[in-house]
Amino acid sequence: MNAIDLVESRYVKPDMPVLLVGDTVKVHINIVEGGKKRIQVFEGLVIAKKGGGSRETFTVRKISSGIGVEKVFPLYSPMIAKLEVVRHGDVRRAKLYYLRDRVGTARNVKEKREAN
Amino acid sequence: MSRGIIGKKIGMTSVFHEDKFVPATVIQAGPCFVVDVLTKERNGYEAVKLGYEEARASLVNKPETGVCKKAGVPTLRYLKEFRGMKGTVGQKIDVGIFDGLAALTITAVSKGKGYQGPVKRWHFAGWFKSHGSKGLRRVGAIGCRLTPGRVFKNHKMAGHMGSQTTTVTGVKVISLDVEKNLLVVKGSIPGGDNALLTIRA
Repeated sequence: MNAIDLVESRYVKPDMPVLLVGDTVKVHINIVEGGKKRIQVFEGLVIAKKGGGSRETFTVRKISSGIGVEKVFPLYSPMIAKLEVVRHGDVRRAKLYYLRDRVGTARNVKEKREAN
Repeated sequence: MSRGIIGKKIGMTSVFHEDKFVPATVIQAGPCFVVDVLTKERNGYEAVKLGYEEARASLVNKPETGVCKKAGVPTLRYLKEFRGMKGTVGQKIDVGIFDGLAALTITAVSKGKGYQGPVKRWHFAGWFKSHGSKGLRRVGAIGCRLTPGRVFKNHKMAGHMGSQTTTVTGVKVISLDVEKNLLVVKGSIPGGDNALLTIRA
């Protein structure tokens, strides 16, 4: 293992849930305001994952008051208090950027059903 | 007390530091050996000479091989003096000497850029592209007429850029690993990967 991989490996948290593109997630974010700490939950659809190792990020999209909002989170960020996967989506693409152009029910993603 | 170590730049990455995702440089820092102690009586100033990176004797010139032999340490490829530092001959210096320090000073030879024009080298604004302009990235005027009748010294023009000894101060330490001799600092430092670094505090 080279030195850079070694340094990066220290930031990887082993107990993260499996996160896939198309999943609906609840991201619990630590927010510090005026010396006070609170937790805010951002719930939405994972439309992309980028990078690898400790530098991996994921993009969460949700519709907030009728406006599309996207947030990019580093997967192992210390500001993420908890990451919950609400449901797995059935998608065929690694990047769901096409959902940005969809309106109404067309932007729904089917839930993935386990094959028996 | 001043302290220092010789190292090599390994490369850059991003790490989490104080709840932020920050750019970081990974450095192989030491281990170094003290090969000589310079004193006020003998040399006129106080310093220690450190050596870094073991090498076959055939790769190091004969005088330096002799210096390492006399100090009783392995043959070392790079030797450098650190003024005002204390140590004893043969002593091993590792990255632990920087433990608890917030900021370091790092010196290295910057990346060579070759022959560059004034816009890249000195951040000149250039000239306009239209109205028949021929001077898009040119220097422009470099002086007056009869008075003073010459171009002042050190006037900024095109020329060789980079490959200069460059020092950055106030480099913040993110983490250090004595066992693996690794130093992680915030931000960038001069030189490309594998550049030889002088790290002081």
